[in-house]
Amino acid sequence: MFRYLILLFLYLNSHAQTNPVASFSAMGNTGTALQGIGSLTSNPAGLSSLKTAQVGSYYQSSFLNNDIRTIGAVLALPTALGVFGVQFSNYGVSRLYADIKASLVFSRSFGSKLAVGTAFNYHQLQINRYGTSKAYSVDLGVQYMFTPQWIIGAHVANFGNASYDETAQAIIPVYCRLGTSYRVHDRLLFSADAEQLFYGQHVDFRTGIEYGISRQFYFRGGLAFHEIKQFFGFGLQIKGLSCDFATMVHPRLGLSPQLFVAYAF
Amino acid sequence: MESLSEDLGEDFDYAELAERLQHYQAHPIDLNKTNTDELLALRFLSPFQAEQIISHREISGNFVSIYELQAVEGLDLNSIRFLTPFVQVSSSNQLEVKNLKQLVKKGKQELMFRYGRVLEQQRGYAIADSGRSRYLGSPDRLFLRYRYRYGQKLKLAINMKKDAGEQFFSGAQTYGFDFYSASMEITDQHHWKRIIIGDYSLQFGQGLGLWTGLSFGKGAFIQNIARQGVGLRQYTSANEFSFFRGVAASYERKAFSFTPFVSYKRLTATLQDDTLNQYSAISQSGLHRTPSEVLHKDKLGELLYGVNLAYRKPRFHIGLTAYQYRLSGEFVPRSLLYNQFSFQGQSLDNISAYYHYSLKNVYAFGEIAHNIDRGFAFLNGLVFPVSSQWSVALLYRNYQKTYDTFYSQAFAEGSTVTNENGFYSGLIFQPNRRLQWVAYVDYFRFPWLKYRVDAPSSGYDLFTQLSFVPNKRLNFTARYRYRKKEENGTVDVVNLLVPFTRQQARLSMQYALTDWLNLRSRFEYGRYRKEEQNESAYLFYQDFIGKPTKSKWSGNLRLAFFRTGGYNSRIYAFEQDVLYAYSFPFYSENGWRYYLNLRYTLAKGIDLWGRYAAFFYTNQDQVGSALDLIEGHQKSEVKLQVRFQF
Repeated sequence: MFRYLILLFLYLNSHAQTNPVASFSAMGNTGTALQGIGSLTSNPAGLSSLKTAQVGSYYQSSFLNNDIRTIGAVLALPTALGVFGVQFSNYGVSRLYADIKASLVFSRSFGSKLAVGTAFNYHQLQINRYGTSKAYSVDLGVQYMFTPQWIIGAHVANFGNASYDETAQAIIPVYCRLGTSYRVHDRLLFSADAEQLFYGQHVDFRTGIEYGISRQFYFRGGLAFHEIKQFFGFGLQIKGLSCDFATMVHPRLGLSPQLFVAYAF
Repeated sequence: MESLSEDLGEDFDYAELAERLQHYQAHPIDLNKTNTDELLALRFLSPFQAEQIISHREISGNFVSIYELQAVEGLDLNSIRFLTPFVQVSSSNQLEVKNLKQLVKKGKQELMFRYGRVLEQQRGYAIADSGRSRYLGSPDRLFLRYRYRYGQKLKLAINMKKDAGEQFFSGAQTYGFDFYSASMEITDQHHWKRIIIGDYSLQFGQGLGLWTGLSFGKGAFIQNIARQGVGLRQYTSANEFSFFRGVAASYERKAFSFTPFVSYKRLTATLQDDTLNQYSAISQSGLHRTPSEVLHKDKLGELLYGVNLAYRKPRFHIGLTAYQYRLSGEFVPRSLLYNQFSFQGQSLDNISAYYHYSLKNVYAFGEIAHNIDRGFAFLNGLVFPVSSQWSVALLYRNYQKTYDTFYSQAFAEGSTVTNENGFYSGLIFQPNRRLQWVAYVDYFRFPWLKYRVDAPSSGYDLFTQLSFVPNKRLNFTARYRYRKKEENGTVDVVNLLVPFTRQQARLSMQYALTDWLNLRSRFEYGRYRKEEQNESAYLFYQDFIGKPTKSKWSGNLRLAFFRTGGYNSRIYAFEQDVLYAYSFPFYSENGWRYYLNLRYTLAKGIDLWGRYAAFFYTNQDQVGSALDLIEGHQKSEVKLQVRFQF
């Protein structure tokens, strides 16, 4: 069994850290043209719209398997210069395998339409009794607001193609994403992303919808088309506290539930 | 009719729909008296739209004219255009009563006869050797239809049918036609809303428990995923399987209704073992042409009886159906692995409960059904607007492999309500009345094996359509559909599943050139892929539909050109036909298709129809297969029809 789990890892590793937090993930793993604290786990340019400091923490399990999970934390701080953010995540199996990522993010807007963000990432892969490997990577992102409702975004992750040393059987994914989002009204939001992995052959299209039955309670849904996957979720917003739940439904592997809790000061 | 049928699929009985629409055209629904059930019987309105019409009337008072439909929220131009021929607004109630009295005095009758045949010789008719399979009868098709109507209170319907290849007044058909159907309907007798003696159909809830006849599945009418069974109806179609024969009635008191029903008919079934009285297959085609088809005719008796209870409020509806199903012999399907959980035995007990509820604009619906001592099936759905322009439709269904009935038709990817679960989500964008964009995604799984699928399998279906109605004369649609499923690959020692995909892209345009001439064009591209097979296909057709206002003549013509890579990439297209008939052939191989339908009104109450249709293949010397094989590259067909109304 354990051997299969390891196989599963290696396959999933290239996707592992590309899942954004639950509020974005529920919208079909989109986020290139979405904004807010969740941007720390997708396009850093989306962070620039933040007006107050926020802190959050998340948990993502892989395919209802308690052993393989991602735990993470995010923190964002708006300043006069722009918005600074910190993100930390740990993907893997407790005490056996840890793929750690720590990022420092800076994002700011230029005028009312354009926003640019960049992330400096430290990666560390740790496998029990095998050793440790380290790497540094840089992400770049941009968002452009045609209108306050309509945003397009682009995001390149690890564009320097940084990697762990060869003994580690794991990669730091390089990908390019283009996305758009449209806010129909303050409780209805659509988003769509296209992603091309550097080593991948297919472009993955994804799309998502968020609908609030009130300003406190939101339903979300999404779809990924290349290897079709469905996404569902809901979010609760009470004053500064937000709590988002999401799950991915994989045709063969089943559910991957996720939770994200954040607080805005 | 055409727009609707395109979504129904190829093996569907359209005659019932044709007749129903024809009826409403002759006797339009009064918008000021109608209810949601009646509007839904038209089939192209969603339950949500029907309720919007009723609630518009409740809020704004009676309709002054049918043009007021434009003020009803949720009705787009296309829906209004579909609806207007079938509705009216009576000028005053008093006149209505007078008219009704006059109507009651006159019983209206209608007699119609149709003849049709394929002109070329098909192989099954040429075989003389009585030891081989062959068609025993002539290639002529005969259909006789009689209707009597005494106001709204009494209706009588008789159908008689002989299919091509069946005998007439000889052999197995000693009584002439192969299929006879008759029914009498009495309505509104005190609390008895409807009493039917003879053939009838039943449609309850979402179709999990009991549903015969017309039903919708996936298609451009996203909101139609929500069904509303119309309950008991007179059966007037010519399908030889999907109906009941006996007595049924519907008793209504306030919000409650009570519908008992009993049916007995004989089925065409393959006798497996004489001494054990076992049958291995039940035929639903209604064809009795060859010695073996004739041999199996009427072999198995089928008794069905039960009751439906319903409680109905304008926005809320619940119902409960229970029935028992008994066969005169034991049904034992062939012992193949995919049949392992299918119905087997002599009897089946089924109960089901359903609901629908609308709150503000949110429409919720569902049903759960259970085969006693066997499996469950359930379905739940929601249709709701998320803004003034966007609506969302969601549906989840789960039909266990041990749930299996003969008379269920619910939302499903497969053709039956069994062995399937899936989630459907659809989106409707209607920025104004002229433009509509719809899309859906349906993901489904078949937990057990199926015919030619030797393992659990899954697949998905993606669909999108944009329709644009710039003005009353013009209509554009563009659609794309992508489907992926799994089935057995090239036969090996072990059958492994391989994926196959079907893609379909379509552009169509409808244009009213003059008051009497309509043009309709379509281009369709299709593609099929499985392992090394890669077939592509296209079809182009041009229709001319002429209806001069004062002339006794009307008619329509199609010219089509098609080129397909083979049978797998065939393209289906709906065709106009003589009144009450329908045609939904597939276009496969390379060639031309053309047809001409003409109608001539000889005198008041006497109408004549004629049809000539032909396939002309450019790459084939033989058309069809097995007993239907024609030597040559053409298959042509004529139909003649006469109707008397008196």
